[in-house]
Amino acid sequence: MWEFNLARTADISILLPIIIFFVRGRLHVPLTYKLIYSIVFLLFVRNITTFILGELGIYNVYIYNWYNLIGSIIVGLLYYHLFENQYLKGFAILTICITVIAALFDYESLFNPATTNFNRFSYNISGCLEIILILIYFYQLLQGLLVPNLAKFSPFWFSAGALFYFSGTIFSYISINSTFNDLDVRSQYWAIDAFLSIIFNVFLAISVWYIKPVKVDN
Amino acid sequence: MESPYFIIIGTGIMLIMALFVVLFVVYYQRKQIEQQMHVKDMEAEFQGKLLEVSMASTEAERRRIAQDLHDDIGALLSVTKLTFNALYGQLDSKQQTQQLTQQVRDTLDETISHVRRISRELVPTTLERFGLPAALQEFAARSNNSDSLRITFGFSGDENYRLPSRTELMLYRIAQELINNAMKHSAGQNVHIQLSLPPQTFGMVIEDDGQGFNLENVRLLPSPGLGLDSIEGRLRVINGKINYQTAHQEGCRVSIELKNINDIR
Repeated sequence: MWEFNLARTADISILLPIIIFFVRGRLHVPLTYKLIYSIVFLLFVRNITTFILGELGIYNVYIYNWYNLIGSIIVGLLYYHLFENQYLKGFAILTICITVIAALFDYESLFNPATTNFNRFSYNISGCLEIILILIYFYQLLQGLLVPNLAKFSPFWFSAGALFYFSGTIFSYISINSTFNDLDVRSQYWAIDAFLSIIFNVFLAISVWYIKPVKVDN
Repeated sequence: MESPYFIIIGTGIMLIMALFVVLFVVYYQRKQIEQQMHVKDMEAEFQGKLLEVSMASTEAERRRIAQDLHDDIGALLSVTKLTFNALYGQLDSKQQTQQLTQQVRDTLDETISHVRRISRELVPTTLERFGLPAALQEFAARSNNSDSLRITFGFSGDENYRLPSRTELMLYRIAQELINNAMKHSAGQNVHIQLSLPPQTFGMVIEDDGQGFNLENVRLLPSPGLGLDSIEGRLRVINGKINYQTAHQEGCRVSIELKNINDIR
């Protein structure tokens, strides 16, 4: 029962960054911040959709599989824009390509709405690649020293939250056939994912809070 | 089938590593930024000291030249004039000879006057002996000999109040620069210098009724331009600040303040 409550709390916690978005309401922002907004809304759509389908007794695992693919593409694009080195930008594009290819290896999990399996390849490969992208970005932050105060820098909060989430779930995803794809033990590992999702959503909320608009020349 | 303990322990280790990475990035970046700012402060301090030394050398050189002009050339010219006076008294009273000698004597007088003027401009002795108000008043009066511009001087406060000699010299040079700019570029008719000394707050305002200028455009000019870099460099040495109020056909008003006037002794 507590796993169920934790999962519901994780679903509701996405409202934190959504509320902050509507309270702060900054639309004239650079593309990188718009991509962060996209991830927030994608998460929100995923949670709403899976909740509704779950309540209606309709299979919804394929929604999670699509979210993972689309979310990984958006994260790859985000770091493509954040990286300054041309080779690192190329690497970000490469991770997007690898994620897409990996997801298509288990295409049945994407195109079969009745699937009960999480994509065997997409989660672990995209998780590893996203951890690498985040670590490279942190390295760039330390090398460039262009940000005077990281505590008020939106991409830092997003990256920190994403690092916690992907690091905490990587082992679960690597053993996905024994964890999420095993219906007997799924709820145990779902609790870990839910807890880390709450942390990620809190970091997302802080990230959205610190998003600054660009100056518009009249 | 993987052991659940393997997954949980692995997850725990990854979370701890992630936490370490994030904390390390925040801490290290903050330290690097502090170090960068410290280096920038040191560089700025070094540049300030360099500027101060450079200006001190320039003033020392000016002092030496002024001394040489006064002691050597001025003395020689004075002796020449005395000798010539003696020679003049021994000549026959032929009209042409008298005219020629009179011209030479006038020329010598003028040369001596020029040498004294150059010496005074190089080292303002009035400033050293009587202070900033007297020096500026003398400068204004001397500059009024030309027909182009009328320069007036106003003063309030304690005329016996003396700032440190370095500060007075910097302010005098700044006033010189600003008035010379007004004479050369303003195309106006009047320049007024207003000086306030303690017990009121220190302030020096120089304003003209000329054509004004675009401050941003002037800053983009290479040196010498209006010498704004030189003025601001001198102010940095004495911890002063400057404010320009100017616009096209609206003249120019320059205000100078000293920060922490009470600490200057």
